[in-house]
Amino acid sequence: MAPPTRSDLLQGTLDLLILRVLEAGAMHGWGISQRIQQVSQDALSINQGSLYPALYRLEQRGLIDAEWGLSDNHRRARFYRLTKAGRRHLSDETDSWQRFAAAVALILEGA
Amino acid sequence: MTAFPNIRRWFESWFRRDRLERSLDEELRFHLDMETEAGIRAGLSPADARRDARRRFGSMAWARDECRDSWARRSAEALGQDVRFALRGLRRNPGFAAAAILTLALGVGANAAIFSVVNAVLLQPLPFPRPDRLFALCSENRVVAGFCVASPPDVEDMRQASRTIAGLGLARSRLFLHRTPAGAEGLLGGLATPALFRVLGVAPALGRLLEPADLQSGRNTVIVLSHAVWESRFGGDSGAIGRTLRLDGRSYRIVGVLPAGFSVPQFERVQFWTPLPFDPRDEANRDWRGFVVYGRLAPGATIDAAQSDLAAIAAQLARAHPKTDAGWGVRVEPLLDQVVGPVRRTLIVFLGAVGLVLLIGCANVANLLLARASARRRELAVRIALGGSRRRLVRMLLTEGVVLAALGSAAGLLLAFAGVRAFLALAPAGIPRLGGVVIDQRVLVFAALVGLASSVLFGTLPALRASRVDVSDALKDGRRTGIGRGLQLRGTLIVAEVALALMLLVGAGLLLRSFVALVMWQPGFEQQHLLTLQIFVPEGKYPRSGAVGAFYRRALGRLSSFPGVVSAGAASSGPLFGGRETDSFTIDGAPAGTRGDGSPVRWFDVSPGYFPTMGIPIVAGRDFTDRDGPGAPPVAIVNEAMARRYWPGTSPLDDLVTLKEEKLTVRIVGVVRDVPPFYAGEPVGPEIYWPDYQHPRWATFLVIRTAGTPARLAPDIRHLLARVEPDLDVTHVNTMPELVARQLVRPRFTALLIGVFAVMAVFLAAVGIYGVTAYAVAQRTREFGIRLALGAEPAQVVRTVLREGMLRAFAGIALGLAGALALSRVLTGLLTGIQATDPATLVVVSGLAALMAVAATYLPARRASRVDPMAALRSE
Repeated sequence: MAPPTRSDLLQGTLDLLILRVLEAGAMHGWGISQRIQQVSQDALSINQGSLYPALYRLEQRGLIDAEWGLSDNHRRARFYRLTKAGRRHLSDETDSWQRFAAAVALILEGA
Repeated sequence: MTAFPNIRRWFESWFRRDRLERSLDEELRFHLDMETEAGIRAGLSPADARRDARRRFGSMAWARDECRDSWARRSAEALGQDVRFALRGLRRNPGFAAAAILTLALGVGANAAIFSVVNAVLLQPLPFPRPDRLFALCSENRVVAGFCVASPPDVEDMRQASRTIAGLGLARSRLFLHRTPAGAEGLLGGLATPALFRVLGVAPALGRLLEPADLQSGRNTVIVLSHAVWESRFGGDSGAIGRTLRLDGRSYRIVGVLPAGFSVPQFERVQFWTPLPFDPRDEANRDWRGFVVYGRLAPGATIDAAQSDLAAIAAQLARAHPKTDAGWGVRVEPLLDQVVGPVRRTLIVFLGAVGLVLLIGCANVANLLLARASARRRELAVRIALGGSRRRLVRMLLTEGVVLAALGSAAGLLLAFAGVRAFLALAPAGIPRLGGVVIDQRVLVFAALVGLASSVLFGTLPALRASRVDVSDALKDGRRTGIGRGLQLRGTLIVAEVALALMLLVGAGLLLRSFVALVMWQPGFEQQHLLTLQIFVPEGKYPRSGAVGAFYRRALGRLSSFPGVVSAGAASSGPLFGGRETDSFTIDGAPAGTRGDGSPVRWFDVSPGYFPTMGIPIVAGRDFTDRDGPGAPPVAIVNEAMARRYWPGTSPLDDLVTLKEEKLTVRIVGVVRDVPPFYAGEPVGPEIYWPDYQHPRWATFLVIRTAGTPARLAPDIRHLLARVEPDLDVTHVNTMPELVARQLVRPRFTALLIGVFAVMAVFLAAVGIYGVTAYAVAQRTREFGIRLALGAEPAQVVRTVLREGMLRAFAGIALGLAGALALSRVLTGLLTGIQATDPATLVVVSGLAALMAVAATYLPARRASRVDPMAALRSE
């Protein structure tokens, strides 16, 4: 079945957003989706469902770890946490994003 | 933060799909619930809130598939990638791959082969219902040490008095003379009580088995055929039931057939079973301890409970029947122990030997992988520095171990198939249950586990070391750092390998020396021209013993005058032929409790021609003559060992000796020289001989000394005996060299097998030493280059390398000697005429191990001395 088309850029962005959100501490899937909506001020509207494949992918790549725990309302929830590799990946990616953004800004201003 | 969480997830993703599946469902449900609750808090109706949550979530099925895909594809891809990578790595280093796989294959193959034998012989339960409830019962007394037998009335009394046993059956085998139109033949029959078959839990394939009513006299001429005899003699015809066989001059009616594959333990060659020809309660037989007894425990009873219960009953019997039962105890042991007991030690020694080979193999694999990991330190460090996941690296190395294990185990299984075939072809007769040896699932699992354990366990070691690579250190100079530590560890492994190989060499050396001692047997007489055979005189034709004695005289007379025969004699048993009959004796007139008061003695029925024919000299007194007949005073001859022990400083001649079981008093008229026992370590026991003319029995062995090759004369002698008595059964026709050769089969097999394992061990250890030394030399190429450039003699370089190698080898030899001494007890039962701590063997074997180490170290050492200084320096 064909997934809803999303460019690689967007997928990379979602991964980055997840890592960024988790930098603040462990969180479950729903909480992550709420945070992403908050920080992006709903500018990036994504299906909440597409969050989970991204989480599983990141987990398989060893960038995040998952563990079952209790949520605020005392229900069992799966909490995600940044691994060392994830933290490194986030900082690398952030750097390159910023360099990229700066380069784009330079081009746009210089034009 | 090691490889393990990752491995766990990897296994989970493959083997615990449903758990992951459930976990994913719960997670998605949680998300929807939270979203719905948020909607309700925002004022939506529960139904609307749920619908809204679903809309925001998007396709549930898609999300689930994507998640599933991500873990399946990732692990499958990663696995495929790892395996491909590992295979590529092995192909790139064919030397390393071949060495590791061959080492594993040897270890796995030898272990799987021996395990399949041990599995079939020692581990498989007996083929009876509830076999763990079966036991053997033995009357105990020093007179019958080494036998497990009891008498029928004792057994009947125990059965009645005991509450811990459900049944006790008796068995004994006997040769029956079977008359057919074609002539007479001996058939091996079994005498049994009907309870024997109930105890073993067997049902007839045809007809019925023996029943209690069959024991009554007049009704006891019934037989139950073994399945094999039913097929070979009656063509598997069900009409065999009701037919009769003429056995020992009487008609026996066939009433049943045993199922295929069934045999009573220790009576595998019995062709038919017939009831005990007398009432088992008959008091006359209370001291006839000639029956094998098998029993079944009562429900809830244990072996220990039965042991103490029956021991108490035996004590009561000893009080009730002091004449026959005083001093007799009882021993109960699990039937499986009784059946496999005699070969257990040998097989366990084999298992231990292959275990040592495997350990050496493991050390080699560890060495190889360690060397490889060291050589790849730089590569691994670069990968880590470039951001490669450390876990992924560890997993890569682990995969390499698993791939090696799979290839090694597969090759090992091929070796195991060949090994099992060779084992079965060479194995001596008499190992029980060898027919059941197969390479089955259990063996396959065993081989896979052994391969995995030895490769991954030892593969993990370098993998874990590699995961601790200090990146900057390794990059600064990948070659020098860590070498010290790695070499030290590998040096330790070499010491262990040499020690293990030495232990096996000691075992092989001892077994070989023990075997040589057997080959060198000097019985004190000439063996090459001796023929032995056993004859059975038909009881129906010769009902009185006097007639049997006269027949022996006639037959021996005809034999002695036969062309080509030098002389002939008869004996109830003798060196290497015949069994062993013991009695206890007292010397008449000696005070009770002193010399020979009830001491055991081996006895023999012999003819006047026996000693001259064998070539055993009479050292005092006289030999028997034809005048020592039934009417003459009973006489006997003792051996030197008996004379020395019980008549120290005096002569036994003219003394009277009473034999308890034979109820016989004889006057000693001669002393014969001892025959050195075949098993050199065995002491020569006291022996007493009396004339068979005075106590003839219906079966005897004949010994015939021939002028030419004895085997060539055998057919003529058969013809001659048939002319003297057509109904005579002649069996066990052997030459003395044949008997010796048969005795040698088992020790030769043991020595050969352990020898093969020792050779494997030495080979593997040599490969290990060579590998480590060669690696160390390669690592120090620059150092040697500089030394040579500065004017060192090549011989000096060789000496340096050799010295280091030999230090390790000597440490290994010392450790191995200590290990061999610690384990010496294990071999004691397998050695004859030699101590397990035999110093000569230890010295020779240590020398061999040292030679092996020198050879394996010298080759790389010589290479070190030929380093081209310029090339060595340039290469860095």
